[in-house]
Amino acid sequence: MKHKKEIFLIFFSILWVWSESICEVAQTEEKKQTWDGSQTTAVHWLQLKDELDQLILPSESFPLPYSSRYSCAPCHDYEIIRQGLHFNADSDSKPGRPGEPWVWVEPRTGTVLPLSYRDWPGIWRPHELGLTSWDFTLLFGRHMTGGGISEPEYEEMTPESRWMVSGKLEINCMGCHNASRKQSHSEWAKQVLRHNFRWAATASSGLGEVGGMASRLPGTWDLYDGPNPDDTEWAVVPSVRYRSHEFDSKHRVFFDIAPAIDDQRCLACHSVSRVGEKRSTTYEDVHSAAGIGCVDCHRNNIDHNMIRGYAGEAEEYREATRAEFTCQGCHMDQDLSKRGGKTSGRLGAPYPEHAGIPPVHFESLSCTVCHAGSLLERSEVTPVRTSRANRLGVYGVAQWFTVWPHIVEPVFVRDQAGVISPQRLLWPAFWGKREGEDIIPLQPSEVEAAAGELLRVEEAVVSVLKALALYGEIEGIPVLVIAGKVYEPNVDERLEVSDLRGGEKAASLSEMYWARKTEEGIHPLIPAFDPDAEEPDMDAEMRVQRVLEALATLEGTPGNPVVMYKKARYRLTEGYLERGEDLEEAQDEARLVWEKNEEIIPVVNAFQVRTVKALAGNDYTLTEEQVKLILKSLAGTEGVDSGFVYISGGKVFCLDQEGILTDDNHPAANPVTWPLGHRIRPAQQALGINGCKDCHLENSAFFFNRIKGVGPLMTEKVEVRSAHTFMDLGKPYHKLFGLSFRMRPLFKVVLFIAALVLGLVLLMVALKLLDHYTGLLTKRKD
Amino acid sequence: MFGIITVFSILVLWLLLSFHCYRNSARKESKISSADAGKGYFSWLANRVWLWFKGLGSDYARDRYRSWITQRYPGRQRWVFICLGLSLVYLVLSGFVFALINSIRLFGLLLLLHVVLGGVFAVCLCWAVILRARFYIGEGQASPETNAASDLALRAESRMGWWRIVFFWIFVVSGVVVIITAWFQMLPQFSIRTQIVILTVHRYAALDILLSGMALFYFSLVADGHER
Repeated sequence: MKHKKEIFLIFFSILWVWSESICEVAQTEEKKQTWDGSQTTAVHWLQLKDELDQLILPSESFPLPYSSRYSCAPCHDYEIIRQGLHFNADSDSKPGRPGEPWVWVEPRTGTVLPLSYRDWPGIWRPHELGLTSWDFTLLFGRHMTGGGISEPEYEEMTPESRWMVSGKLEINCMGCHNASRKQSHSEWAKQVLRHNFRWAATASSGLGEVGGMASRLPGTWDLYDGPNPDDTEWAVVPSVRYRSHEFDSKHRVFFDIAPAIDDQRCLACHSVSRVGEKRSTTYEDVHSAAGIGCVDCHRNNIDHNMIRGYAGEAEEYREATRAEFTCQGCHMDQDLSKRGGKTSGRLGAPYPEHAGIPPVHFESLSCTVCHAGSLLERSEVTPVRTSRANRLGVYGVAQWFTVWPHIVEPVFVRDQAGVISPQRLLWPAFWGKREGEDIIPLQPSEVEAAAGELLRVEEAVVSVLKALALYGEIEGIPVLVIAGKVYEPNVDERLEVSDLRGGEKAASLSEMYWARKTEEGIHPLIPAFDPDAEEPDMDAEMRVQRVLEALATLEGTPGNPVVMYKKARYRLTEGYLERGEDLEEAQDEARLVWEKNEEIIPVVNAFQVRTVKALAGNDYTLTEEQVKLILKSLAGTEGVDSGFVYISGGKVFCLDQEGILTDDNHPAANPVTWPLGHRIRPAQQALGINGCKDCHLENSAFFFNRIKGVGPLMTEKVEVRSAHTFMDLGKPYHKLFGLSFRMRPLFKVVLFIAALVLGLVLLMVALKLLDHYTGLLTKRKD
Repeated sequence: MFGIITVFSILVLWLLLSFHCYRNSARKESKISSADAGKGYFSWLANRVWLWFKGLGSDYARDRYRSWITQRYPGRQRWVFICLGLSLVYLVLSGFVFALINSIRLFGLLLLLHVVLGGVFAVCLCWAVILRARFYIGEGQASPETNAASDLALRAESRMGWWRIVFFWIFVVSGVVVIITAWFQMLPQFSIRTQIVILTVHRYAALDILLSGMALFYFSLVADGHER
């Protein structure tokens, strides 16, 4: 080793330079993340960078959408931000207090499945159901912030996913931080629906206009392929047209970043409203009404590890400051030595006296029991809709919100710490298969594949009515009349139901018939005529022909369309109306049927009529008959021992050995609950303001409200639970305890009299004693 | 803290009273001089406790009932004192057992019964004071209607010492405080902090009832029985 010394020196120099550069980077990073102490907000004139970290020039052809990862990078560390609460569901080791799950709603199969990447009790992990990050993003990206699972690493991308086409759904910084009214959550949702993930942030922020749909592009397309000049109608490659007038000469654009995030931004995903409530009568959270914004309590540093503000969070995260943002943190400072033990916490929030409420309440109940959520009504819990579960806040011509899941509040539940808190509740519903003691959910697509037409009843009727409307040249709207009810399709391809008017009802001849609805009323689809008349009724026969032509446009029908009326049988032969052989039995109303090899198949069969009659116009999506048939279909050749079940309304439905639908209980059917913390009501509106009897009575809603299972299955067989079961409290005792409050006024009087009498006796003794020493009374006697 | 004070004070009082009993009985038997007062106390105590346990049974209970109740409290009056005693025993047991265990509050049916028997105690105490107060201010006189049993009781009362009077009135005052604090806790006027103070006062007053009750019991029934 001749040059041993030189080699050592070179190695040492390299090591030194490398360590210096590492330190420099670390210091720069640290500097970037450290707040300098100024309470102002930086003005954000920024150059936009695309996902390839290239400067975006709005004037160039086919500019890419901006990437928050690279556009914000000069000042903010994207990787640190990614660890924040809104992005770390799949990577955070601390699940924290249960929160609202994502709810996979698939009305056709009657699926209502609560999901979360966080380890919360009773909630399914997406991967347990075979959902990939791609599936999850498609399902819930509409209300996701981007980042996290929506931004997978290359090796996490599954073959069936289309991340290369759609791009990753990066963190949508402006979704929260944009103070501009141009920021559109609806636009974000629409772009996600179109698989335009990489374009979603640009479109929703209003920086540019995005066209095209990645969902229509072939799976082989990627960014380097660019636009397709041959297809400008259907599979149009998404593109951005930036609002170039908003860029300055240095290609910078103004980001309107607010000092504090506007509540509207939070409410895009965190709104909750009571079902049927009018906007004008909505109750506000008392804190919001007082001008306190969401982020005044739910704070975070650059790591975006936001304070959730629940009791116990500080201990969980080992950050004492988190305790300052709980109810107690603001309203009751922990240091009771100050100001005679009546010092408030942050902002000098009103100190609660809680007059007349025994201390045990503050050990067993969270503050929110009395102060948050809908005020407990005497009879029922309140149904509510939430942004993420019911798809609220996405505006457009189409209706985005869903009636499922049915969420109710408040249900008072004892948590793991033994404290009772008000919670929201939903009953899961899904098809599943028993595996040992467990029930594992099936994906809706598996059920649909097995069930086929059994699940598409309403759609089948709607398709016939739509074909008649489009091709039947019928005056008015084609409708189906069943047992005095009129069924007509709506824009969402569901059936809407209305009553037949008196006169029309009397005129109807059969249980079910096709008709048309005009301003004058309901008329038979084919007017009454005599097919055997010497002079044929040309108008009527033309109507028959048009109806047959309309039915012929339907795809996948079991046979050729035929109209049967009185003894006549009409069909189309080479485009002409042909009267076939006479029927044996005359039909009073025109019947629409399919004919296949002499076999007559009704256009709408008896099962479909029963199903439509039962389901149309209400929130249910399945009948017991459907469930029974689908379970048989799922079981296939395996028979009833196959273990397939359907869960709805807190019950598990399966077929017994005779093939009869039976119901049972199972933990998988248990309701899912999560605490609610907002819509805070002041003391004057709190539970208990009317006294102990607000909760303590033998029939109190607080203890004995009946919470009824709700599910997509229309059935009487649902789980009904009394409120006390959620609190792990004994019913007989609380009935008795509640009853004791009837006697309480008398009891108070008895105690008062006893104390008064004893007090008087003591007074007399005291006087006697005084007399003994002074001799005043004795002297007077003398 | 309350638990420690409770256990300590009960123990000390019990030892003091038992020592008083020991000294009295030893003096009566002229076994000891005042200089040797402490000698043999613990063996005596162990022996008494052993004998007490040994003597437990229906005969013992009947005998105690006769000497403590029927001979002292005439006719229907005795039910007032029986109810007072029994309710006090339950209130003490339910109250202090839970108070001594910091993590658990009085709850459930025990709490409900505590509240109900608290009412019974209040009424009985009131009644008992009306019936007996005059004997504890040094002017007790037998009424013309008083029967033989009553005479015996009054004779016993007439011999009561200064300690008995003191403990009786401490018992009554503590009872009033306990009743008032229980009543206050049912009123919607007091803030949570005031209620905590009221609850603390309730507890200490209850402890006072227990201690004065023990002393009163001793001086009225045990020591008095010895004297007789």
